[in-house]
Amino acid sequence: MSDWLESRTGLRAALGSLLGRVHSARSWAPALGHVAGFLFLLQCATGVLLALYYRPAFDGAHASVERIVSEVRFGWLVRSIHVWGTHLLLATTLAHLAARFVTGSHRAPRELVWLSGVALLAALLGSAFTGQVLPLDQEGLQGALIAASEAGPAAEIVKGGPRLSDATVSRFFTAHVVIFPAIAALAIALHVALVAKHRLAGEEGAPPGSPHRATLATLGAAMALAILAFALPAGIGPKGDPSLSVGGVKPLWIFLPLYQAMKGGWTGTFLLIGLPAALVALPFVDRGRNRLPILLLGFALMAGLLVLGLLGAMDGTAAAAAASGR
Amino acid sequence: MELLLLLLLQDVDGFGRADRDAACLDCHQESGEELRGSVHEATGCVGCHGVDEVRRGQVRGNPHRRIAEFRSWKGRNLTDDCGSCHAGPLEALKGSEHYVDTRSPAESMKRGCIECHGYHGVRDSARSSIAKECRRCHEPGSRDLDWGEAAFGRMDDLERTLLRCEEKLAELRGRPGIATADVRAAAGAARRSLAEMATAQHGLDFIRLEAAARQGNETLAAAYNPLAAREREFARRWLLLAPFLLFAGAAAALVGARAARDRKDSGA
Repeated sequence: MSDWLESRTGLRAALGSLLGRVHSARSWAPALGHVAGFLFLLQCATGVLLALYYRPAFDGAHASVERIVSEVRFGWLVRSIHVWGTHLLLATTLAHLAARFVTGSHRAPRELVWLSGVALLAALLGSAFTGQVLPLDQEGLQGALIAASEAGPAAEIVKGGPRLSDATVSRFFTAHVVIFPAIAALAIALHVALVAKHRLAGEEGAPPGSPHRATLATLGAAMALAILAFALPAGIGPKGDPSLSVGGVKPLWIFLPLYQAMKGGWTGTFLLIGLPAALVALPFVDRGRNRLPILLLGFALMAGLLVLGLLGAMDGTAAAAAASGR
Repeated sequence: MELLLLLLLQDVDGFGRADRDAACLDCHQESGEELRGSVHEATGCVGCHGVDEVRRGQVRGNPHRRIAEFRSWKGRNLTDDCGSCHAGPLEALKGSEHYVDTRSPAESMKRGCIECHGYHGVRDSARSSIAKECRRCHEPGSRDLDWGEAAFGRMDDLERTLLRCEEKLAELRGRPGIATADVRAAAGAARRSLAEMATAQHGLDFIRLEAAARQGNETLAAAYNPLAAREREFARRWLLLAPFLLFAGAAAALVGARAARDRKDSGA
């Protein structure tokens, strides 16, 4: 059977040679990329199942997600996997990026590997952001309003009109289900092809990489995801009210540094533009033999983002505690 | 001559439009006091009695002109005033022995809405409060009182079940894995039927009312009771996870063994 397929497509030869060159014999770090890839595919699969029941309308969206979570058989499980999958995918991607930064895998001639990875990260962030809007709970509504206000002159394109409506939901839905996943898929294809080309993992003379670490890491991630989805299944909060004051409504954890920075006005814009610029510029700036300054700068940036994120997470709880008189 | 001029200049008519409570309260302070704090405070005097023209400051005789919009209490069945907003209960009452078709306002105060609810000072029309009014005329142990109290008791049961159900639904809203749409629909239907019963009870057909309330309670309980079982079933979801973890664990062990073998082979 597989011979029949092989003689007609040559798939096994092509994929085998490609994937055979992305494994490493030396460390666990490259397995992170495989885990991220697996999680992305899982997100697509669970996303398709969710899209069968989701209603992209301003009034119907929240109710459709409530239905998925309560009424649809195993809907709660599919949604929980999708929600936890988001967190794990973003965490794995960030860890993968950080590991690759430390090992200097962005340096010449691998700039395009890095840049395709940055594009992939941007697409995943876009997907995560638009995905959080879709249930139209308070966080979702707030996300849509923030996106519209940050878009400036493009606000009407984001909202699909002068105010939040069915058109807004349609746009966020299309962005989440078609636009960002398509960009991500293209970026992944480019990224994997370039990794294979540069033999990132299996350098010349080194023993050939084995796929076992990647498989074990993927199995581990799947088990962790399953345990999280069962232990902490995702519910849904009350329907978002546009007129409600939105103190304490937080975005996804990965956006918390930006959320905190945006309170300072210009600091938010600085981060929104400066951070991607730094990531894109990195392979072209980090060329010298002495990597220490760049590494230190990188760690400082990571620490700064972590601090901003923690501040963003804690914000509101202190005020709430004060308000309740504790 | 000056007297004639003075008379001519005076506003002989002296009627002013009384379309706000302030105009009524000039003379009717007591009624105003009773209305304050009652459920009809927002409705005001004019809401029930209508607008009239009055000669303000007149101390003797009746200062009311009694224009067409004014609903005077003379020669009318005052129960009709209540019906201007509470049409449903009035329709039901008309079919009962508690209604009298009369032109005498005094008679209509003895048998009609006012008999049980009062008029200006209506504060509470809950079933439990009105039930006390029955005992003013109906002896304990009498057939009518027993039937009435039985019907009210079943309606109270239904309301208690409904409140418990609505509380549980609020708690479960948005929680994963526990279907509540059918219970929500049943609670909505029960709420509507309780409202219909509250109107229909004015017809005093307590046997029908008691049966309807009992049936409503059974239907609601049938929908509500499975919720606990669904919560328990969801708590047992780990039984689904266990096979997956076993399978994944076994696969990981196999892969690990293979990796160890490969390392040994390449090392040797």
